[in-house]
Amino acid sequence: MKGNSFVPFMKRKGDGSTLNLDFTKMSALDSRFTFTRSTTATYIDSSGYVATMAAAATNDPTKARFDYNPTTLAPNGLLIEGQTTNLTKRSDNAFTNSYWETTSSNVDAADSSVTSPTGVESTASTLTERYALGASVSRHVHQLIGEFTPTVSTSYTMSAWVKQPASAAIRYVQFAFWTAGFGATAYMNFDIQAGTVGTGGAGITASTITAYPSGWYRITATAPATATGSSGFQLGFSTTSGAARTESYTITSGSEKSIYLWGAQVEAGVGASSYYPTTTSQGTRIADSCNIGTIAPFNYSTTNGTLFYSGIMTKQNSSSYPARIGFHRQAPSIDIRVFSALTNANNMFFTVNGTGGEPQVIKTYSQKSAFKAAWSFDVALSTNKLIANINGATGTSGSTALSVTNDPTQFTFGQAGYEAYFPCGTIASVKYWPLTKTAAELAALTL
Amino acid sequence: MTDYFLRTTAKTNMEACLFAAGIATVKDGLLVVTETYTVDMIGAADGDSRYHANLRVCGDMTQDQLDELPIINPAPTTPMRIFS
Repeated sequence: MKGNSFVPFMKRKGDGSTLNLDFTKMSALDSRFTFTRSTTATYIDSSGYVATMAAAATNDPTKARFDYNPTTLAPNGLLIEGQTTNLTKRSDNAFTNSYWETTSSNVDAADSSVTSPTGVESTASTLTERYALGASVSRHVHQLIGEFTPTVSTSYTMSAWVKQPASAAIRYVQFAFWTAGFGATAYMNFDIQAGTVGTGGAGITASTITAYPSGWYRITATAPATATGSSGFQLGFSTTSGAARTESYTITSGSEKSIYLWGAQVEAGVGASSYYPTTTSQGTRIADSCNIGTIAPFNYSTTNGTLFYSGIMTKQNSSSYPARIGFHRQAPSIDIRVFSALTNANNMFFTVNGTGGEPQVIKTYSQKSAFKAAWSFDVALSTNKLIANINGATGTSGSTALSVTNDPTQFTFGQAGYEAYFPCGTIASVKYWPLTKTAAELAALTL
Repeated sequence: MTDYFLRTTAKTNMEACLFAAGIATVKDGLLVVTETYTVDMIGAADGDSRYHANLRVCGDMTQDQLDELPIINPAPTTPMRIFS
């Protein structure tokens, strides 16, 4: 097979697959992929630091991002993200800017002695309790505030990197969305010494804390907006991991404590995507557009097929059903999901599209957890339906009149045209077989 | 690669302009953007209740297409949101 440009795809290793991509063993896409993303974007490099990848306004597969677990440094694979806007301004090294408001706290300019989560920049700020109101004042709320305008019923996720200084360090911090826009219970506490999520209000629907090198943690909290209009988010200090919103506590002069802070982000959606730094304006990262246009070597079958996918979803889409991976037929005005997996909320929708029907199986996965999915079809669907499996749990479609599937023109990662809708996360591996695997075989693939 | 800042009185007007310029279509109830274009539908912006959108073009546009677009001219010096 020497000289065959598709040798990397044909590593069958005895399992019969005609497409076999293990992105955890790659560091770049080669020229057989078509890739664009016309803005810069960040990712986690092999050292666990936040790194920046240049834009690819025209096809440039070398600008795809390969992401790593910041805690274990294990490779996560190819990072494919939908379009996302960081709704904060002055997000990384300008918390002293007037965009940010402080209440009973001080923000110092970048501390040159502290390495930021990029590993090379000295752009982290220090947020310190302020003793200014005197002992007679019963309520001190020590916090930093940024404003944005949510839309009712849309979920938003705030995130930031925080770190304890070597001395005079705050242990507990609290994320809170403004009551105006999110209600009074949208708050969550974090223990940034133990690296754990504390407790908070019922308005928070998801929250995470992730360890990064040099003692940094990225903390996230998600809440649905209860109203449209001016609102904001707060990063404050707490005295316990279960502190109430706007906890009152007093400090004495000279005993003020602090944290380091970097990389604030608020974005629409459930879960935090990769960090996108901003300055004077909100910033929009354009989606990763990735596909393989030459699919003849995969021997696509219009009557039988099996696909395998493994990866991690970091941010969910809940407003549509764009493709995550799969075979497509793409033309200027035609975009047909031929045999693919779609995503919506925490669900994968496994489909095959063709003459006479579009059978579908829906299975649920967990956000920020690695999962494996496998699905197969046989056009004799009255006896052997579309079967799908996630992590060992099987489902089958109802009977349909499907008789033949469409001919695809590409294998896609994400879906062109739907950049504003598809989710974010890493793809570890993908396989295709032009044959129908049984339910037991699918289960064996995903366990 | 060129960025445009767009503004109309309402979202429906913005969508109509994008359709007329051949930049987007509606499919299954969603605004689907044609290849080589990226659209960021924003809405109100910094106290201006009119509907705003950002458009990035990776390629050429015809004069007819440009004529269909509600381009803010001159472009704002400090836009609320950008592609960067």
